[in-house]
Amino acid sequence: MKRRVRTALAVALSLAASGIVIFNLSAPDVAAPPHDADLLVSETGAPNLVSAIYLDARLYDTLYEILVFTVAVIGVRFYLLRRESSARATPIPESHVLQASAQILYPLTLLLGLYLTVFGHLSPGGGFGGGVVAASGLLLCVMSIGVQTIYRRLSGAGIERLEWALPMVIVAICVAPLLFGRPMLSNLLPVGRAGHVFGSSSILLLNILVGLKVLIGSWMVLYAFICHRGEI
Amino acid sequence: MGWLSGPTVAMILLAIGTTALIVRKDLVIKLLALGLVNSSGILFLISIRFQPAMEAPILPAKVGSPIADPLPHALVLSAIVINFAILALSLVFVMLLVERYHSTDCGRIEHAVETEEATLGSQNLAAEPSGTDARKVPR
Repeated sequence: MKRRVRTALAVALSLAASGIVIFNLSAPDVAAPPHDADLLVSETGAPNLVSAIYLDARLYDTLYEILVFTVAVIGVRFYLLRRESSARATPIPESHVLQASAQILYPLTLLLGLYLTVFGHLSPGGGFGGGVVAASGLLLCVMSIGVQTIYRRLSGAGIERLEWALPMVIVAICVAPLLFGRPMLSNLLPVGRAGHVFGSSSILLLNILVGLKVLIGSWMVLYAFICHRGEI
Repeated sequence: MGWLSGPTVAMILLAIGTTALIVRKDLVIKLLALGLVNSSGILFLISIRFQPAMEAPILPAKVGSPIADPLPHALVLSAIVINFAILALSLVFVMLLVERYHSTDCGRIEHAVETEEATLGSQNLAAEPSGTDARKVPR
Protein backbone atom coordinates (compact mmCIF):
# COMPACT_ATOMS: atom_id res chain seq x y z
CA MET A 1 0.00 0.00 0.00
CA LYS A 2 2.73 2.41 1.03
CA ARG A 3 4.71 1.46 -2.03
CA ARG A 4 1.74 2.05 -4.28
CA VAL A 5 1.16 5.49 -2.77
CA ARG A 6 4.76 6.41 -3.33
CA THR A 7 4.61 5.20 -6.92
CA ALA A 8 1.50 7.18 -7.62
CA LEU A 9 3.03 10.27 -6.05
CA ALA A 10 6.19 9.95 -8.11
CA VAL A 11 4.35 9.41 -11.39
CA ALA A 12 1.95 12.27 -10.70
CA LEU A 13 4.74 14.68 -9.82
CA SER A 14 6.77 13.73 -12.87
CA LEU A 15 3.81 13.96 -15.20
CA ALA A 16 2.91 17.36 -13.77
CA ALA A 17 6.44 18.58 -14.41
CA SER A 18 6.38 17.15 -17.94
CA GLY A 19 3.02 18.72 -18.66
CA ILE A 20 4.14 22.15 -17.52
CA VAL A 21 7.22 22.04 -19.66
CA ILE A 22 5.55 20.58 -22.74
CA PHE A 23 2.82 23.20 -22.72
CA ASN A 24 5.00 26.15 -21.85
CA LEU A 25 8.35 25.51 -23.46
CA SER A 26 7.72 23.32 -26.47
CA ALA A 27 8.03 26.36 -28.76
CA PRO A 28 10.75 28.61 -27.33
CA ASP A 29 11.53 31.84 -29.17
CA VAL A 30 14.88 30.70 -30.45
CA ALA A 31 14.88 32.86 -33.55
CA ALA A 32 17.00 35.54 -31.91
CA PRO A 33 20.73 34.79 -32.08
CA PRO A 34 23.00 36.09 -29.33
CA HIS A 35 23.67 39.69 -30.33
CA ASP A 36 27.01 40.04 -28.58
CA ALA A 37 28.65 36.96 -30.12
CA ASP A 38 31.08 38.98 -32.23
CA LEU A 39 31.97 41.18 -29.27
CA LEU A 40 32.72 38.11 -27.13
CA VAL A 41 34.95 36.65 -29.85
CA SER A 42 36.89 39.89 -30.32
CA GLU A 43 37.33 40.26 -26.56
CA THR A 44 38.54 36.73 -25.90
CA GLY A 45 39.99 35.65 -29.25
CA ALA A 46 38.20 32.30 -29.07
CA PRO A 47 35.80 31.47 -31.92
CA ASN A 48 34.21 28.71 -29.86
CA LEU A 49 31.65 30.75 -27.93
CA VAL A 50 31.13 28.04 -25.31
CA SER A 51 34.84 28.14 -24.43
CA ALA A 52 34.78 31.91 -24.43
CA ILE A 53 31.95 31.85 -21.92
CA TYR A 54 33.07 29.17 -19.51
CA LEU A 55 36.76 30.06 -19.43
CA ASP A 56 36.51 33.83 -19.67
CA ALA A 57 33.16 35.46 -19.08
CA ARG A 58 31.94 32.92 -16.50
CA LEU A 59 35.29 31.71 -15.16
CA TYR A 60 33.91 32.03 -11.63
CA ASP A 61 31.52 29.10 -12.22
CA THR A 62 34.26 26.98 -13.74
CA LEU A 63 36.58 27.69 -10.81
CA TYR A 64 34.06 26.28 -8.36
CA GLU A 65 33.29 23.33 -10.63
CA ILE A 66 37.00 22.45 -10.55
CA LEU A 67 36.95 22.73 -6.77
CA VAL A 68 33.88 20.45 -6.56
CA PHE A 69 35.70 17.89 -8.71
CA THR A 70 38.78 18.14 -6.49
CA VAL A 71 36.73 17.60 -3.34
CA ALA A 72 34.98 14.56 -4.85
CA VAL A 73 38.31 13.01 -5.86
CA ILE A 74 39.71 13.64 -2.37
CA GLY A 75 36.63 11.96 -0.90
CA VAL A 76 36.94 8.88 -3.12
CA ARG A 77 40.62 8.46 -2.28
CA PHE A 78 40.08 9.08 1.42
CA TYR A 79 37.33 6.50 1.85
CA LEU A 80 38.60 3.88 -0.59
CA LEU A 81 42.36 3.82 -0.03
CA ARG A 82 42.39 4.26 3.76
CA ARG A 83 40.55 1.01 4.36
CA GLU A 84 42.35 -2.15 5.36
CA SER A 85 40.86 -4.42 2.72
CA SER A 86 41.77 -2.11 -0.17
CA ALA A 87 45.34 -3.33 -0.58
CA ARG A 88 44.40 -7.01 -0.42
CA ALA A 89 42.98 -7.50 -3.91
CA THR A 90 45.56 -9.16 -6.14
CA PRO A 91 45.64 -7.84 -9.72
CA ILE A 92 44.07 -10.13 -12.33
CA PRO A 93 45.62 -9.85 -15.83
CA GLU A 94 43.37 -9.05 -18.78
CA SER A 95 42.77 -11.48 -21.64
CA HIS A 96 45.22 -11.42 -24.56
CA VAL A 97 42.62 -10.14 -27.04
CA LEU A 98 41.84 -7.17 -24.83
CA GLN A 99 45.53 -6.48 -24.20
CA ALA A 100 46.38 -6.50 -27.90
CA SER A 101 43.47 -4.29 -28.97
CA ALA A 102 43.99 -1.85 -26.09
CA GLN A 103 47.61 -1.53 -27.16
CA ILE A 104 46.50 -0.29 -30.56
CA LEU A 105 43.81 2.01 -29.20
CA TYR A 106 45.48 3.80 -26.31
CA PRO A 107 47.93 6.05 -28.21
CA LEU A 108 45.11 7.21 -30.48
CA THR A 109 42.83 7.94 -27.53
CA LEU A 110 45.52 9.85 -25.65
CA LEU A 111 46.27 11.86 -28.80
CA LEU A 112 42.58 12.62 -29.30
CA GLY A 113 42.36 13.84 -25.70
CA LEU A 114 45.36 16.11 -26.25
CA TYR A 115 43.84 17.45 -29.47
CA LEU A 116 40.48 18.17 -27.86
CA THR A 117 42.21 19.98 -24.99
CA VAL A 118 44.62 22.12 -27.01
CA PHE A 119 42.14 23.07 -29.75
CA GLY A 120 39.24 23.49 -27.32
CA HIS A 121 38.86 27.20 -28.05
CA LEU A 122 38.74 26.70 -31.83
CA SER A 123 36.57 23.62 -32.28
CA PRO A 124 34.27 21.44 -30.18
CA GLY A 125 36.13 20.13 -27.16
CA GLY A 126 37.84 21.74 -24.23
CA GLY A 127 39.61 20.83 -21.04
CA PHE A 128 36.81 18.87 -19.41
CA GLY A 129 35.98 16.68 -22.39
CA GLY A 130 39.60 16.28 -23.46
CA GLY A 131 40.63 15.30 -19.93
CA VAL A 132 37.98 12.59 -19.78
CA VAL A 133 38.99 11.24 -23.22
CA ALA A 134 42.64 11.17 -22.15
CA ALA A 135 41.64 9.37 -18.95
CA SER A 136 39.90 6.69 -21.04
CA GLY A 137 43.15 6.42 -23.01
CA LEU A 138 45.01 5.92 -19.75
CA LEU A 139 42.51 3.21 -18.80
CA LEU A 140 43.19 1.41 -22.11
CA CYS A 141 46.91 1.80 -21.36
CA VAL A 142 46.34 0.14 -17.98
CA MET A 143 44.50 -2.70 -19.72
CA SER A 144 47.40 -3.37 -22.06
CA ILE A 145 50.38 -2.81 -19.74
CA GLY A 146 49.16 -3.44 -16.20
CA VAL A 147 48.03 -1.33 -13.26
CA GLN A 148 51.08 -1.40 -11.04
CA THR A 149 53.55 -0.57 -13.85
CA ILE A 150 51.56 2.49 -14.90
CA TYR A 151 51.06 3.51 -11.28
CA ARG A 152 54.80 3.32 -10.56
CA ARG A 153 55.66 5.33 -13.66
CA LEU A 154 53.09 8.04 -12.95
CA SER A 155 54.04 8.27 -9.28
CA GLY A 156 57.67 8.56 -10.33
CA ALA A 157 56.62 11.54 -12.42
CA GLY A 158 55.17 13.20 -9.29
CA ILE A 159 51.53 12.92 -10.32
CA GLU A 160 50.26 13.17 -6.73
CA ARG A 161 52.00 16.48 -6.09
CA LEU A 162 50.65 17.72 -9.44
CA GLU A 163 47.15 16.71 -8.36
CA TRP A 164 47.31 18.99 -5.32
CA ALA A 165 49.22 21.75 -7.13
CA LEU A 166 46.89 22.14 -10.13
CA PRO A 167 43.81 23.52 -8.30
CA MET A 168 46.10 25.96 -6.51
CA VAL A 169 47.60 27.08 -9.83
CA ILE A 170 44.12 27.59 -11.27
CA VAL A 171 43.02 29.58 -8.21
CA ALA A 172 46.25 31.61 -8.44
CA ILE A 173 45.53 32.41 -12.10
CA CYS A 174 42.06 33.58 -11.11
CA VAL A 175 43.35 35.76 -8.26
CA ALA A 176 46.53 37.04 -9.95
CA PRO A 177 44.87 40.03 -11.71
CA LEU A 178 44.33 41.61 -8.27
CA LEU A 179 48.11 42.08 -8.01
CA PHE A 180 48.06 44.15 -11.18
CA GLY A 181 45.18 46.32 -10.04
CA ARG A 182 42.66 44.59 -12.30
CA PRO A 183 39.41 42.95 -11.18
CA MET A 184 39.56 39.31 -10.18
CA LEU A 185 39.21 36.67 -12.96
CA SER A 186 40.10 39.15 -15.68
CA ASN A 187 42.30 38.14 -18.58
CA LEU A 188 45.97 39.08 -18.17
CA LEU A 189 47.49 37.43 -21.21
CA PRO A 190 47.38 39.19 -24.59
CA VAL A 191 44.53 38.50 -26.99
CA GLY A 192 45.72 37.75 -30.51
CA ARG A 193 44.02 37.01 -33.79
CA ALA A 194 40.77 35.10 -33.34
CA GLY A 195 40.90 31.64 -34.89
CA HIS A 196 44.61 31.16 -34.27
CA VAL A 197 45.83 28.55 -31.77
CA PHE A 198 47.68 31.16 -29.73
CA GLY A 199 44.99 33.75 -30.42
CA SER A 200 43.72 33.54 -26.84
CA SER A 201 46.55 32.37 -24.64
CA SER A 202 44.63 32.54 -21.36
CA ILE A 203 41.88 30.20 -22.57
CA LEU A 204 44.50 27.85 -24.05
CA LEU A 205 46.42 27.81 -20.74
CA LEU A 206 43.27 27.25 -18.68
CA ASN A 207 42.10 24.51 -21.05
CA ILE A 208 45.41 22.67 -20.66
CA LEU A 209 45.37 23.06 -16.87
CA VAL A 210 41.74 21.91 -16.60
CA GLY A 211 42.44 18.98 -18.93
CA LEU A 212 45.42 17.88 -16.82
CA LYS A 213 43.39 18.27 -13.65
CA VAL A 214 40.52 16.17 -15.00
CA LEU A 215 42.94 13.56 -16.36
CA ILE A 216 44.80 13.21 -13.06
CA GLY A 217 41.64 13.29 -10.96
CA SER A 218 39.98 10.61 -13.10
CA TRP A 219 43.13 8.50 -12.92
CA MET A 220 43.11 8.77 -9.11
CA VAL A 221 39.49 7.63 -8.96
CA LEU A 222 40.11 4.79 -11.43
CA TYR A 223 43.22 3.65 -9.57
CA ALA A 224 41.36 3.61 -6.25
CA PHE A 225 38.60 1.45 -7.74
CA ILE A 226 41.03 -0.85 -9.60
CA CYS A 227 43.05 -1.39 -6.41
CA HIS A 228 39.90 -2.24 -4.54
CA ARG A 229 38.63 -4.70 -7.11
CA GLY A 230 41.83 -6.23 -8.46
CA GLU A 231 40.76 -5.84 -12.10
CA ILE A 232 39.17 -3.24 -14.32
CA MET B 1 6.74 14.46 -34.80
CA GLY B 2 6.94 18.14 -33.97
CA TRP B 3 6.07 17.52 -30.34
CA LEU B 4 9.06 15.23 -29.84
CA SER B 5 11.49 18.03 -29.00
CA GLY B 6 14.49 17.98 -26.70
CA PRO B 7 12.72 19.38 -23.62
CA THR B 8 9.89 16.85 -23.99
CA VAL B 9 12.29 13.90 -24.15
CA ALA B 10 14.17 15.39 -21.21
CA MET B 11 10.98 15.57 -19.16
CA ILE B 12 10.07 11.97 -20.03
CA LEU B 13 13.54 10.90 -18.89
CA LEU B 14 13.07 12.96 -15.74
CA ALA B 15 9.76 11.20 -15.06
CA ILE B 16 11.33 7.74 -15.53
CA GLY B 17 14.34 8.68 -13.40
CA THR B 18 12.32 10.20 -10.56
CA THR B 19 9.94 7.25 -10.45
CA ALA B 20 12.81 4.78 -10.31
CA LEU B 21 14.58 6.92 -7.71
CA ILE B 22 11.58 6.80 -5.39
CA VAL B 23 10.16 3.35 -6.05
CA ARG B 24 13.20 1.09 -6.40
CA LYS B 25 14.93 0.15 -3.18
CA ASP B 26 18.30 -1.01 -4.45
CA LEU B 27 20.94 1.67 -3.87
CA VAL B 28 22.83 0.93 -7.12
CA ILE B 29 19.63 1.23 -9.14
CA LYS B 30 18.93 4.46 -7.29
CA LEU B 31 22.31 5.75 -8.46
CA LEU B 32 21.52 4.72 -12.06
CA ALA B 33 18.22 6.57 -11.81
CA LEU B 34 20.07 9.60 -10.49
CA GLY B 35 22.29 9.42 -13.56
CA LEU B 36 19.17 9.39 -15.73
CA VAL B 37 17.83 12.49 -13.97
CA ASN B 38 21.21 14.15 -14.46
CA SER B 39 21.23 13.34 -18.17
CA SER B 40 17.71 14.68 -18.51
CA GLY B 41 18.86 17.95 -16.96
CA ILE B 42 21.75 18.18 -19.41
CA LEU B 43 19.50 17.38 -22.39
CA PHE B 44 16.93 19.91 -21.22
CA LEU B 45 19.45 22.73 -20.88
CA ILE B 46 21.24 22.14 -24.17
CA SER B 47 18.04 21.74 -26.18
CA ILE B 48 15.97 24.54 -24.67
CA ARG B 49 17.53 27.23 -26.88
CA PHE B 50 18.08 25.14 -29.99
CA GLN B 51 16.18 24.43 -33.17
CA PRO B 52 17.11 21.90 -35.86
CA ALA B 53 18.14 24.54 -38.43
CA MET B 54 20.73 26.08 -36.12
CA GLU B 55 24.52 25.95 -36.37
CA ALA B 56 26.88 25.11 -33.52
CA PRO B 57 27.98 28.23 -31.63
CA ILE B 58 31.43 28.37 -33.22
CA LEU B 59 32.21 31.44 -35.31
CA PRO B 60 32.38 32.06 -38.19
CA ALA B 61 29.09 30.28 -38.82
CA LYS B 62 27.47 29.95 -42.23
CA VAL B 63 26.09 33.27 -43.40
CA GLY B 64 22.42 33.69 -42.69
CA SER B 65 21.99 30.65 -40.48
CA PRO B 66 21.30 31.35 -36.80
CA ILE B 67 23.59 29.88 -34.17
CA ALA B 68 22.45 28.14 -31.00
CA ASP B 69 22.65 30.05 -27.73
CA PRO B 70 26.03 29.09 -26.20
CA LEU B 71 25.19 30.07 -22.62
CA PRO B 72 23.26 26.90 -21.59
CA HIS B 73 25.95 24.79 -23.28
CA ALA B 74 28.62 26.48 -21.19
CA LEU B 75 26.54 25.94 -18.06
CA VAL B 76 26.22 22.18 -18.48
CA LEU B 77 29.63 21.46 -20.00
CA SER B 78 31.48 20.67 -16.81
CA ALA B 79 28.42 18.91 -15.37
CA ILE B 80 29.55 15.78 -17.22
CA VAL B 81 32.81 15.59 -15.30
CA ILE B 82 31.15 16.55 -12.02
CA ASN B 83 28.59 13.82 -12.72
CA PHE B 84 31.38 11.26 -13.00
CA ALA B 85 33.05 12.43 -9.78
CA ILE B 86 29.82 12.47 -7.77
CA LEU B 87 28.86 9.02 -9.09
CA ALA B 88 32.26 7.67 -7.99
CA LEU B 89 31.90 9.23 -4.54
CA SER B 90 28.39 7.87 -4.00
CA LEU B 91 29.47 4.42 -5.23
CA VAL B 92 32.20 4.49 -2.59
CA PHE B 93 29.58 5.24 0.07
CA VAL B 94 27.42 2.37 -1.23
CA MET B 95 30.47 0.10 -1.04
CA LEU B 96 31.07 1.11 2.58
CA LEU B 97 27.43 0.34 3.42
CA VAL B 98 27.57 -3.02 1.62
CA GLU B 99 30.75 -3.97 3.41
CA ARG B 100 29.11 -3.34 6.74
CA TYR B 101 25.50 -4.45 6.25
CA HIS B 102 25.95 -6.92 3.33
CA SER B 103 23.01 -5.55 1.35
CA THR B 104 22.25 -2.83 -1.18
CA ASP B 105 18.58 -2.74 -0.23
CA CYS B 106 17.95 0.55 1.54
CA GLY B 107 15.04 -0.85 3.56
CA ARG B 108 17.20 -3.63 4.97
CA ILE B 109 20.03 -1.21 5.73
CA GLU B 110 17.65 1.12 7.57
CA HIS B 111 16.26 -1.80 9.54
CA ALA B 112 19.78 -2.99 10.45
CA VAL B 113 20.80 0.50 11.56
CA GLU B 114 17.67 0.84 13.68
CA THR B 115 18.14 -2.50 15.46
CA GLU B 116 21.82 -1.70 15.95
CA GLU B 117 21.02 1.65 17.53
CA ALA B 118 18.29 0.15 19.69
CA THR B 119 20.58 -2.55 21.10
CA LEU B 120 23.41 -0.08 21.59
CA GLY B 121 21.09 2.39 23.29
CA SER B 122 19.81 -0.19 25.77
CA GLN B 123 23.37 -1.36 26.46
CA ASN B 124 24.56 2.15 27.09
CA LEU B 125 21.58 2.90 29.31
CA ALA B 126 22.44 -0.14 31.41
CA ALA B 127 26.20 0.43 31.51
CA GLU B 128 26.65 4.19 31.72
CA PRO B 129 23.75 6.56 32.13
CA SER B 130 25.54 9.50 30.47
CA GLY B 131 25.46 7.79 27.10
CA THR B 132 27.79 10.26 25.44
CA ASP B 133 28.88 7.87 22.73
CA ALA B 134 25.62 6.06 22.13
CA ARG B 135 26.02 6.66 18.41
CA LYS B 136 29.53 5.33 18.24
CA VAL B 137 29.34 1.87 16.73
CA PRO B 138 32.30 -0.51 16.98
CA ARG B 139 33.37 -1.92 13.62
